[in-house]
Amino acid sequence: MSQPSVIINLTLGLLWFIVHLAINIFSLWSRLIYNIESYLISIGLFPKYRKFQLERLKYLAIVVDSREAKNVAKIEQLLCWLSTIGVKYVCLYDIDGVLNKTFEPTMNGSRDVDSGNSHDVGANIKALICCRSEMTVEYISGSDGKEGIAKAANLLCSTYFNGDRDARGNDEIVFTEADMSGALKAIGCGGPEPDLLLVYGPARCHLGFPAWRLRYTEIMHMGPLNSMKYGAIVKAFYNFSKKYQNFGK
Amino acid sequence: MLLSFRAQSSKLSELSCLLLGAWSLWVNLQLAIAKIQAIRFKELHGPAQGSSSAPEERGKHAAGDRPPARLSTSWGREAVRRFPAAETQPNLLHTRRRSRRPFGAATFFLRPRARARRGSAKSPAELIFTTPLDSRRPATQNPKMEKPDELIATGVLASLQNFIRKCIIAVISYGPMPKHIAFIMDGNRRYAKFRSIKEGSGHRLGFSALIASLLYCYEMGVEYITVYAFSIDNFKRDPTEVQSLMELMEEKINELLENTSVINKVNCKMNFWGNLDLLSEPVRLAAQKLMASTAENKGLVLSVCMPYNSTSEIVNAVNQLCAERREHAGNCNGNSPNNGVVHSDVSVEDLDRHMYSTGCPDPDIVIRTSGETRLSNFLLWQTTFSHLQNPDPLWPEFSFRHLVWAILQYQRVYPYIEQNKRLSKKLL
Repeated sequence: MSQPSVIINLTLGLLWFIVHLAINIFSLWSRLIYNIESYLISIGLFPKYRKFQLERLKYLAIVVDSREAKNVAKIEQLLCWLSTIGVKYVCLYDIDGVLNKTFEPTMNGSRDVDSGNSHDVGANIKALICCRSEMTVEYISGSDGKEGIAKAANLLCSTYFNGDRDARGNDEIVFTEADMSGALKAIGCGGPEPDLLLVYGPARCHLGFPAWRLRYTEIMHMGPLNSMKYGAIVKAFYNFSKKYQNFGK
Repeated sequence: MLLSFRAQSSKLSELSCLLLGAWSLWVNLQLAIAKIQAIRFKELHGPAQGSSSAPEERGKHAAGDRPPARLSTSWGREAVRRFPAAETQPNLLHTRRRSRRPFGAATFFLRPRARARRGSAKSPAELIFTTPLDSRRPATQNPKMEKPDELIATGVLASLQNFIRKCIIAVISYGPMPKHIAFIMDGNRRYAKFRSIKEGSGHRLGFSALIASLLYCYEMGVEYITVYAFSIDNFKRDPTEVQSLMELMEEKINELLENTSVINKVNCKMNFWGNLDLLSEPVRLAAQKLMASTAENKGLVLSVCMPYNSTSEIVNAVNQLCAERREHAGNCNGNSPNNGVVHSDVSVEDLDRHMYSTGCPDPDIVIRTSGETRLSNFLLWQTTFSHLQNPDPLWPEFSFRHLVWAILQYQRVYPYIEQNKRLSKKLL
């Protein structure tokens, strides 16, 4: 490499570093403001955050980074907060299945009949009686995402090939979205579509949350799990209550 | 010590004199250029024809008299020149307030006065490679002539903007750059509503913003761009609106077919992802023709999703996979398919091969404008490790600085995303 290009490269690198340093300082400042606001919300200083309607939020999903999901105390605290606010159904997701492995031994045996029948979610739910009210918690992992859809596709294809050939004849294969939904329910990956998805992690990524349940879900980024705040959850719910969806119209 | 102080102060005063001299020289140079251009302009075109001056034109908002739109970015101006929006109004896309201006006489010449042109015939070279000297237009093609100072300002400012843009791109390219960016172009109707213009104009300006973003991404080295143009759910809208959108799409596709300057500039390969059978015949034919004409291009890949739903894409992939297996079984066993042939289980890779996006890498960034936080059934299969961003500006306002900010945000989280990708590959 010639000397001028090395100098130019170093200059560009220095400028790039300075730009990112400035952005990091700015984000630290906004993080500080965010934390102060969350604290003020949690002590009830803002009236608008004390009274907001949660009727639209029927199903809540939370995506957690797998490394942070090992912090069981934080997960339990989060579930407790959600229960205090009044959430009835929570779906916890992490891509590596850490939550499944951590909370599986504490699950109540076989599936809960009532909620299992109504939501067809499989055996990985438990009724959590915590803090004040009952809340259903579902644990899913990356294997319920793309791999779940592949299993459902496998079921559909094998149903087609093993089915009544005379009835189908040589018709073109036309599966519909309803067929796919039915297949997902049959294999135990057909949970309800969450209205709101909270992402706990360094970046706003859904990390492979099951695609069939993510169509119209509002996705909000909450930051790392280790620095989670009660006021931030309240603010997220308030912002969700103000959202309006026209579903494509 | 006193002597050294005197020496330093004398050096400072010398430096300030030099700077003042250089600045006055620069201002005089601009004045001289302006005078020369004015003289040459008058020689070419005779006395000035329009009686309205710039401040009056800026104040006009009547429906019958519409000065062209002002755009805040140079590629945005190029895009509107190339694809003129007939119903634009003044100050339409000017979202930045120019609060800092240089002093004195130079202010007059450096005020940005770029105007969109309606129906001006331009060669592809003029369109893309605008230099200060090329920015003059014959008055016969444009009834509202630009003043010479505006032309100079346009040319000088355009070069300066180009240079600054290239510098910014050089700096941010030092870090990791995304290969594939996906856009959900949300906010066109709201834009039209806020600006009290016809709803169709919002979509037209959205198209201009798309072309501008395409050119910016090309300059930055982004290889794949995917845009969510029309959802299958959008068919639920008012039929007249759907019809006007279809007509707009057909018009723009035909324009791209006729004038291939933008496509040739970026050597663009166009894809149309979605259930094209749901489109009307002329739109479908135009789309297929455009795909065929750009199939051999090896440059930037622009994938337009219309009409598209991620769930319908997955179901379509399952259908195609089943058809492929049936054919394979039929080939193996002659007359009766699936007679003793055991198929392996369907895997994620099998479905990947039959998605519309086969051959394209997963998006690195998904940008949904207008601040909405949902994906609305867009690329749900492909966005496992994509950084989801939702900037507040509406899509017609999306410009270079928003794109730069999006890439800087992506660079901040790049290490985390790459780590997650590596870990998930290890698990597989």
